[in-house]
Amino acid sequence: MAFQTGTSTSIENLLTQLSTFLQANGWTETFFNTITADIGSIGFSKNGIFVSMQYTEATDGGTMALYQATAADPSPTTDPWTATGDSGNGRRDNVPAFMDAGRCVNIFAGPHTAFFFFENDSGPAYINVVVEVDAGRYRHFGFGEIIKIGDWSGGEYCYGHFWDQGTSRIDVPSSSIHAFGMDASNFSTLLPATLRVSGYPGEPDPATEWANLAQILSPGNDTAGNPRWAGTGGWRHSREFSGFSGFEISLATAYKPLFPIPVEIADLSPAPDLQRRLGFQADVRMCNIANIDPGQIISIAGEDWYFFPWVRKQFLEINTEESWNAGIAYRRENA
Amino acid sequence: MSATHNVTVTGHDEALLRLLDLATNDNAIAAAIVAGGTGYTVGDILTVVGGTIINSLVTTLEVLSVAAGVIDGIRVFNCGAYSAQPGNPVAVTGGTGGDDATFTLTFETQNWTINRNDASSSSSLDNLAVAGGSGTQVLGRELLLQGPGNAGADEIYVGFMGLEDTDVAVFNWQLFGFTGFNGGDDLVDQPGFSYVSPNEIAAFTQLTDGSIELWIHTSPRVLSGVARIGGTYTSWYVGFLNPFATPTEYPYPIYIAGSCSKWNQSFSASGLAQSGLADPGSSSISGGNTRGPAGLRFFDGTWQFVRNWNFGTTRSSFLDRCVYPGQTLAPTDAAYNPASKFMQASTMNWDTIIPSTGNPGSPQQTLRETEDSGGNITVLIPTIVWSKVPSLQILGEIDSVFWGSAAGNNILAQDRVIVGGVHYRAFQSGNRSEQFAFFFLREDA
Repeated sequence: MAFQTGTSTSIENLLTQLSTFLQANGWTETFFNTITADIGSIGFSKNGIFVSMQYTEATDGGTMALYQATAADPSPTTDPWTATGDSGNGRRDNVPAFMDAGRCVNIFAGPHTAFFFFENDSGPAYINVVVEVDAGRYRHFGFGEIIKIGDWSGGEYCYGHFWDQGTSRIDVPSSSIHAFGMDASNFSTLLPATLRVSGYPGEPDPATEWANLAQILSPGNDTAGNPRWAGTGGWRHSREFSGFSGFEISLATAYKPLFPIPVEIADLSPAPDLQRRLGFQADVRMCNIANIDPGQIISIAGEDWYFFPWVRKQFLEINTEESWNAGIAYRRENA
Repeated sequence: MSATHNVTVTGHDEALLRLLDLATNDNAIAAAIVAGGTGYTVGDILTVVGGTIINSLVTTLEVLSVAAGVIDGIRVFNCGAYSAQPGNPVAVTGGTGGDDATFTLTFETQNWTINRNDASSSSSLDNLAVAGGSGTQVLGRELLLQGPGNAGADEIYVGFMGLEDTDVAVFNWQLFGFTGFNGGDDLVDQPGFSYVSPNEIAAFTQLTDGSIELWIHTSPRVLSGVARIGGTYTSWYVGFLNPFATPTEYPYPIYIAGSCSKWNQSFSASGLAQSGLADPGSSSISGGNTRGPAGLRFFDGTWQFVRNWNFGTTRSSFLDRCVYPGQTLAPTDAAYNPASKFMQASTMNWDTIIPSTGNPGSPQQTLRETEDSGGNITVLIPTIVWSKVPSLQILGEIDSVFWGSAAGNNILAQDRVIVGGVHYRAFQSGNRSEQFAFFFLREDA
């Protein structure tokens, strides 16, 4: 079983169901502290993936911060960002109202209309979670391993979904203030996805453990103060997708392309910049979802792909979190 | 399956004849070791013994790996052309070994058939009348071929014409596509002819009457390749794309591409006057035709020219029908519906790496190889024909042709790269040496 869908009453209820699902598929729940004083936390691991969440349902419409490290937190009662080798992203102060100032999923307290868990038992390990927070409005988060180009060690990633609520941005899916997926934000170095690159042969600094998928922003340091690498690519910064993003559907064949999601790292110091492609996110594709309904399932070569909007498939610009025809497709692993 | 052969010839007519030999006879496409022999070295090129070889197009094998001189890794290096295959197991000569290795070869005939092969065409084809320009045209060999497709059920009609401009001693090929063949008809009257005004597809490959080194790639669907004349690399492609459509939806996705759009363009022209298969461009200088150097037969039966740019004094983007990644649409393009302009702020497009303006242009970024313990890996991007008109759509991949950056690994023309165990050969577009102006042709079947 590598797929589950259902409903959840709250963030904590969602994570409880996620934990049960993950443990049934070979993941370890490294700790689970239910909500006390408005904050709960939980951790998971598999292979070299070590991820934890801290969440609140009491403030700002519900927020879940995500943290990634190189080892499980040895003391589950301590703060997630103190785990060995913490990547540095995710807010670090135990204040619910500030939790959305780092890598997180924001405004999704629940009850949730639906959730979808996509987990992989063959090939790269991953979990992708899609939550229909309320009718037609979505959040995405996940963690796992990329499909690497080469055989270097590393490649573990974690992403959240921060959707800014500013009136000039809430209905603008390309706003660089949003951060989601294997994506980038130039708003804060704490918001983007992280990718472990410590085993990559071309590392410029031996102390570097992580790439921060922060596009052009200075990548900053991890929690221990080690320099991070600048990561690019991702969902909205995929070269593969950007040139074809407006292609809705072929009027001649009804063909709708899906685009892989590359992850690149950059050395921004020389001119021109040096880009290196490290791999691709497994079983997720970017797509234009004109002519496709949110949640629609399309069978491609005998496999089911689930299509969702980035946030809400709508183009009215009425401050309701709109992502127009921007979409994401997830492959469901056959049972 | 496809096959590749590297051969040196003299003149554009002999080049056409060797292409014909490879497309219509038996080619080796795979080799398996029977006996690893002794004394061999990685990189040895071994010549297969036996069989009835057509015009010296002999199969050669490349030693990929050895253990104490015993071959344990092999591939077909040159596919050869045979009217009678050598019997398995085949013996070999050459290299550093004891001529004692043997192999089982798998042969395949690409099964292109000859509809017309006239050494001196009598066609009424007149490039100056169709496209203008200057010069004195003399027609050379007219070669019309028919390919069977992968399943043997297709009928893929393509053509080559040798051209000479006696005013300036230019020797080229002109490339054509058709939808059928009538034996009694002139070339220009053949069904579905691709070079009919006003949408004439001006696809030419610059050659010479001197020495030409060829890399000829054949499959039942496509005849493609590269020619080296001195330091210039010209190219051709005739046959099907790999379409993003079912055979019912798009039954005849024929694509033809040369490396220039002017009938009497010399191979010695410099810079953006020439292009390559991954980034086709036309030149409007001195009678150059802007309806090339590539063209595709659309769903509706019309021929539409394909190019990424035109060269006048600088590269000027053309955005109607192009080849990715050399040319892409901006996410804000006016052709998009408003709800589909959601990537309007994207900064990650291919034009930061492959400049869409300039002569040749200045990239903002360089895509380097991916470093790896087993040798740095060149990232190869499939080349895809897309269209903005008559509607936005992605049409198909150009078979076995990839864009890649020469940066990082400091790739030079004719260098070979290996990705996932598959061998690719790097070529410059014309005589351009910019690191973003290379393309790669798959060698292995």
